[in-house]
Amino acid sequence: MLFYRSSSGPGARPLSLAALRTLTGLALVLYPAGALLKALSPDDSAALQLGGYALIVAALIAALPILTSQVQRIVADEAAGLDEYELAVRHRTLSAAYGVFTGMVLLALIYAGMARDAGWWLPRGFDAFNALFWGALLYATLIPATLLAWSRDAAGLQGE
Amino acid sequence: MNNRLKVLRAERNWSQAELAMNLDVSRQAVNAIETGKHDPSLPLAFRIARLFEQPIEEIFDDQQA
Repeated sequence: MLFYRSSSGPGARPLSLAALRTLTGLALVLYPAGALLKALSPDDSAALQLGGYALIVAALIAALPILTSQVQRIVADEAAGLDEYELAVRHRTLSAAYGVFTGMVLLALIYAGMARDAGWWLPRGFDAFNALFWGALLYATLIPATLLAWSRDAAGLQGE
Repeated sequence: MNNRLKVLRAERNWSQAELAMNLDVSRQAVNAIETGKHDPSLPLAFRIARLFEQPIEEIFDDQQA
């Protein structure tokens, strides 16, 4: 589930490596933090609920510039728009991302299998599963770009 | 794979971007080939050879240093 929005218009410029790494890190950390804060806080605690929403919104704001970045172009743009080096980088990155994402899904399933017996927290209700769904979508979209931003290939992709 | 792309480019005073434009690839691709991070495909190697008017084996060396 990959998405790339072209930013090739006037004034468009690539993000620095530091910015890419910061934004991907923030998006992937703040979303689950916000969703968990919202899910685990009591319904009558407006401050905690609001804090959860604020973290989720912050994660989405951090994610937006990534969708138009040079790393997202490599992993999600049409193949016809990439040259052979970029396609090789895409192949390496998506292979790694597949491993990471399936690993996370397996860990989540193992947790869910153990949680009921152990009495651990499990998502219940529409809000919790809604947050889980959008979180999975966010991770599926950003993991390839994140891996690329933190890879050795990233330095060579600057200054497009 | 070792190559002389950087030397040949410097002899013509081309930037990586200019060479990339001549080869119809990204500047990042030129940089990756020059630094040995990417071995070009056969079609691209032929394009490079034609551009510099040299045989492929004069530009690329498959013997590891």
